[in-house]
Amino acid sequence: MKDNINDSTDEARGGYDRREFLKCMGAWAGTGLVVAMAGGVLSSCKIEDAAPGVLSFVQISDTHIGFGKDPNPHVTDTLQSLVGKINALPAPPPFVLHTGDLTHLSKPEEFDTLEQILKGLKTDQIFYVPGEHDTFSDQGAEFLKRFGKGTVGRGWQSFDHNGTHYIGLNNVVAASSGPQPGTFKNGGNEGLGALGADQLDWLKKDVDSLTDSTPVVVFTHVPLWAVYPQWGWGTEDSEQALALLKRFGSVTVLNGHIHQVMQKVEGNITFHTARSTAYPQPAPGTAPAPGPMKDVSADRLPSTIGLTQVRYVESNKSLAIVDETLA
Amino acid sequence: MKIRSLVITTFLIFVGIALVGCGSGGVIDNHEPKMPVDKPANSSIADASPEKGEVRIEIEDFVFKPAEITIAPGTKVTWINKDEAPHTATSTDTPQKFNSGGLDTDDKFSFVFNDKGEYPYYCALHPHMKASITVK
Repeated sequence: MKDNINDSTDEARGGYDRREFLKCMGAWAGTGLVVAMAGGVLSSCKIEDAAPGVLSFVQISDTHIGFGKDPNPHVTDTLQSLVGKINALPAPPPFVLHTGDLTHLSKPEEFDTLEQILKGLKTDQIFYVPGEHDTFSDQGAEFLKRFGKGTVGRGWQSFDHNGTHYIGLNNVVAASSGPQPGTFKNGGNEGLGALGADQLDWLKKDVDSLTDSTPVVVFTHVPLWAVYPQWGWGTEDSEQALALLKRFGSVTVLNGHIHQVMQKVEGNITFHTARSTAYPQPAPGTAPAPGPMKDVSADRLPSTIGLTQVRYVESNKSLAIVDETLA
Repeated sequence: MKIRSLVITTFLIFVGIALVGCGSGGVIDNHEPKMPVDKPANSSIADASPEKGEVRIEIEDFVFKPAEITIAPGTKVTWINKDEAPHTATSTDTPQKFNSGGLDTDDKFSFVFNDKGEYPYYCALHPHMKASITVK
């Protein structure tokens, strides 16, 4: 968070004065968190203290349908509860982003269940990018058959909504430059996500005609910054993608994969990872390996899973990211 | 202990049925591999180091254990996933020599290595997990 409080101007804090800002910072460990962004700098506050904004969209991630062990043997129930939360919002989101790992083991019945539950969402459209759990067995063929409508290549896409340009990237099925095109690029790397040359070419063309002032939101599964490469929590060619986005005044990169909220700011680019709707994973380096935190008690589970709302704040033309748990 | 083994075996039969079709040339094994394994009486292999018959590789804490192993031709290798997260044992060769498909907790996959050579493999879900089998 140090990155976020270096700038002492009110604008940089999303319009909060210093006292209020510090008060909000103290509430960091609360069940909900707002990250307001202005001029590429984050500030944070509790949900109830957040500046009102127009709901832009909701992000859900890592639903892992098919997972059935501790700490959450009932992932369909928790997802259903979160769908209920979204449907109870004062205004339905125009769209929902799913940032991958829809399923646990890419089984057709898992995809079926996911589709069935999300049919109950009150929204116009759901945009999906795959996670490695959706693609490892068939290079993403089943995922693309079901969710690839309107995408190009191996499932990347872009669209515009209310003046913001949205880009969905697939960084779990890289170009066939490695020996195993079915998964992350494996050409002797350390197991990071990868975008691949053809997707980067597409991205270059996709943003070419946009003006620098166009707000850009990128959504993908694996983080586009090196959260913890030892666990594969990063994307090996993300620098090339970020170089194409540097000229824009406001870039928000949303991802899942690591099942916990984490954020970072680099220039005008804000990175934000979402919670899973299914189960938490350990903080980087705090366990021998990543994976479900099976010892989380049933009481505590709801505070470790959740969803993310993104609001457009009219007054300072910024995006406010609100993480909400199931608790 | 016998009852527990019976329960585990029964469970693994169901798991085995569920996994049929996931592998490419592999065999789902519902029985505990024995290790060490009886040495064939007519073995002509002078080097005593390669494991023979059946060997077991455990997947634990996102590591194949052992990560490197030398076996004799005809040896059946069985992987068992002891992690909470799913894994695969997937050949890195092109074309693939073997692929377990997704192995959930306690799932097993077996493959018989008949031909001499190096068989590098990895987990398709966590590609930093790398290992290899030498058949000689």
